[in-house]
Amino acid sequence: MRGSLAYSRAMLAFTPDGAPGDEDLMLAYAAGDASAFDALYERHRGGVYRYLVRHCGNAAAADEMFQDVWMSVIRVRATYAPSAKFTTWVYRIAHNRVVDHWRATGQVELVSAGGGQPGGGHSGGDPDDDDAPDPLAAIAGARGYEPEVRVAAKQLGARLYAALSLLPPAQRDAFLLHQEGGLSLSEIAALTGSGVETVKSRLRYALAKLRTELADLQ
Amino acid sequence: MTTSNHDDDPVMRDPRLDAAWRAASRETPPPALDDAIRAAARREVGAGPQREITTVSTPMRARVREATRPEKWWGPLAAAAVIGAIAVGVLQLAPRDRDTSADVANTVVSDMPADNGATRRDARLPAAASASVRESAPAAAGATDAKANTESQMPFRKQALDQPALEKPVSKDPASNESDARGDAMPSSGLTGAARAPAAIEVAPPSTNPEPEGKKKSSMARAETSTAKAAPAPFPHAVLPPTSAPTPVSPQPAAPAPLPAPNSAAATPASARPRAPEPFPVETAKRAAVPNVAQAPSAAVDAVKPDVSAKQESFAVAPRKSAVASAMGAMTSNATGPADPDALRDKLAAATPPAGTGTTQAAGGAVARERASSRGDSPSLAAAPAAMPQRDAAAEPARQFATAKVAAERRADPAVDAKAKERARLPVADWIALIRKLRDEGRLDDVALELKAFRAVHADAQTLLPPDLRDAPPGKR
Repeated sequence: MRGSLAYSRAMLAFTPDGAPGDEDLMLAYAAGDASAFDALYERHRGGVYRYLVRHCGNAAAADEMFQDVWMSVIRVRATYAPSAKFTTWVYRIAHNRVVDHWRATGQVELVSAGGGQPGGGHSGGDPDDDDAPDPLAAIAGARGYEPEVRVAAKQLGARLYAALSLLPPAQRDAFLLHQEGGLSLSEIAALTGSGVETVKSRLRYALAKLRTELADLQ
Repeated sequence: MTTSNHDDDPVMRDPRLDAAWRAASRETPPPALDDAIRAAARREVGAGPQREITTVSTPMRARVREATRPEKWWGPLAAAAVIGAIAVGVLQLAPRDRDTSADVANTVVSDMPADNGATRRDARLPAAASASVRESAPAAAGATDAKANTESQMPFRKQALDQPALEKPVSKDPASNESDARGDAMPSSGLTGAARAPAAIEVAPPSTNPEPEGKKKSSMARAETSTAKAAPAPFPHAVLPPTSAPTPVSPQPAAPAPLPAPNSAAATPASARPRAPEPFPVETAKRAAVPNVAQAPSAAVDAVKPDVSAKQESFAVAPRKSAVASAMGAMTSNATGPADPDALRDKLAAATPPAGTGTTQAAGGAVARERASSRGDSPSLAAAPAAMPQRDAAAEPARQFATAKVAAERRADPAVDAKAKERARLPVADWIALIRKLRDEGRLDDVALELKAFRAVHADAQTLLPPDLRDAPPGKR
C-alpha cells in the first residue's frame, strides 16, 4: 500500500492554483491516503449537500442521503477509474440517491419546499396544511452568521426554494447540477442519460421561470 | 452535425440569479456528519487519526495537532505508582517495633504461671493488676542465677532450639521452669526481656543446624532480622561476666561490648570450644544478666525509672544501631571466607541496647512504678503519667499517692493480692454492689478487704468508688 501511495502521490496532477486535482486525490485515497479524502471531501461537501437538500427540501433526509453518497464514494474507491471527472462521478451517485429517495417516498415530483405555497407540479404534500413544519427551518444553512445575515439568507433561500419548487423535477435537477455541481451540459446529459439538447432546453426553461419568480431581486 | 459549447451560451448564465444563489448557498452538512464521514474514510483505509488537515485554518490545525499528539497522561500516574510500590516495599522491610513491645508485654508482665497462654491473658489485665508481681522476685532471680551457672542449661537450650524464635523458652526441669517464670515476673522486665532476646538467635545455631552452608547464612540472617524486629532490646552488659560488678545503666550511650566477650565460655575461641555441650555464649550472658539485677536491685531499678527511661531511649538507640551495623558488617565482610557463627552471635549479643530502654520501656513502666513505690520513692515516680488518663490535674498527685500506698499495702497482704486476682475481671458496678452488700450485712472486715483489692486493681479507684465508699479508709468500714 505504501508503494501505491507513493506512486499515486508522484502521479498527482495539480490544478492551476497548485492544488491536486479531484481525480488524483481520489486515486490517492484509493491507495490509502486518508488525507486525500479529507481534501476531496472539503471541496465537495457543500455542493453535494445543497444539491441534496434543495432537491428534497428536508434536512434530515438530506443528511441521510449525503452520508449515503459519501459512504458510497468510500466503498467503491478501489474500483474508481478516472474515466470522467470526479465531480461528474460523485454527482451521479447523488443523483441516483435522490431518484431512490423519490421512489422510496412515492413522490414522482418534488414536494413543495414552500410548505403552503401552491404551485404547479406539486403532487406531494398538502398545500393547505398550515401545521406542517417549515422545511427551511430544518435546513442546516447559514450556520455561523450574524442573525440579520441569517435572516436575509433564509428569506432569500425561501424565495429560491419557492421558485425551485415551481420547476419540474427534470428542470430542477438540471439546474441544480449545473449550478451546484458546475457540470456542463454534456456532463449533465451523460449523468442523467438525456441528450445534450434536452438538457439545454430544460436548463433554459428553468432559468426563465426562475427569472420570472425572482424578478424583484436586486 | 456540429456541436457547440453550450456552457459558453450566455443564456445558460444569469449573473443576478447566480449572485442570489451564492448568497443563499450557505447550507453545510452538520459537523457531526462531517466527522463521521471522515472517520469512516480513515477507518476504511486503515489509517490512524488524522495528523494534519491541509485545508483547514491554522488554529484548527493546531487543535488537531494537539488532539492527535501521543498521549502522555499516564506519566504522572506511572510515577505515583512507582513511588507507592517503593513505599510499600520499604514498609515491608522496615522493622516493626509494635511486635517487639507486644512480645515483651506478653511475656514479661504476668501474674499467671509460666505457660504462654496464661502469660498472654495476664498481659491484657489492667495495669494495676499486672503490677502485682511477687516480692520474692530477687530471691527467685538468685535461684535462677544459681541454676543458670550449672550444667542444667542444656535442656533449656535444647528446648529453646525447638521453640519458635519469639516464644519464651520453657525448661523441662520444674525448678528451672519456676525460676524462669519468676524471672519473667521480675520487676525489671526490661532486663528479663533483654535476657530472653538472644533466644531468637538460638533458634538456628549453625553448629547444630544440619542445613547446608548457604542456608546457614540465611538462617543467621533471619535470626538477626527477628532479633532486630521482635526481640526486646537486650542489655549490652549482658555479655559481661557474672563476677563483674553490676554496672548501673547511665543515660549516656554505651559503647558496644568488645569482642570476644570476657565471659569464660564466650572468651574461649569458637574453634577450640566443643559446640554441643558448651552453653551458648549469649545464653550464658542472659543467665548472667539476671543475678546482676537480683544482687543489685537498686541499680536495675534505676535503669528502668520512668522519668529517665525516655532519655535513655534516645541515647541507647544509637549504640544499638551502630553495634548491629558492626555485627552486620562482620557478617558481610566474611563473604570471602567461612564466617564464625559463634563470633557473629557474640557480636549480635553485644549489639543490643540496655534493658529498660527502647521498646521495653512500655512494658517495664508498670513494674518500674511498683518498684519505685515499694522503695518509697516519690509518688510521681510511682505513677505512670502516660498511662493514666488526665482527668484532674489537681487531684492527680493525691490519687497517685493513694494508689502507691494501697499497692504497697496490698503486697504486704497476700489476702488482698488473692482478692484482687479474684475480683480483677469483675465489673466495677458489680464489685461496688458487692461491697455495699457486705457493708449492709455488717461484714466490715470483708468490706475492708474488698476495698483494698478494689484500690489495688483500679488505679483510679477514688473516682470509681461512690462517695460513701470512697472516703472510707481501707479496713475502717
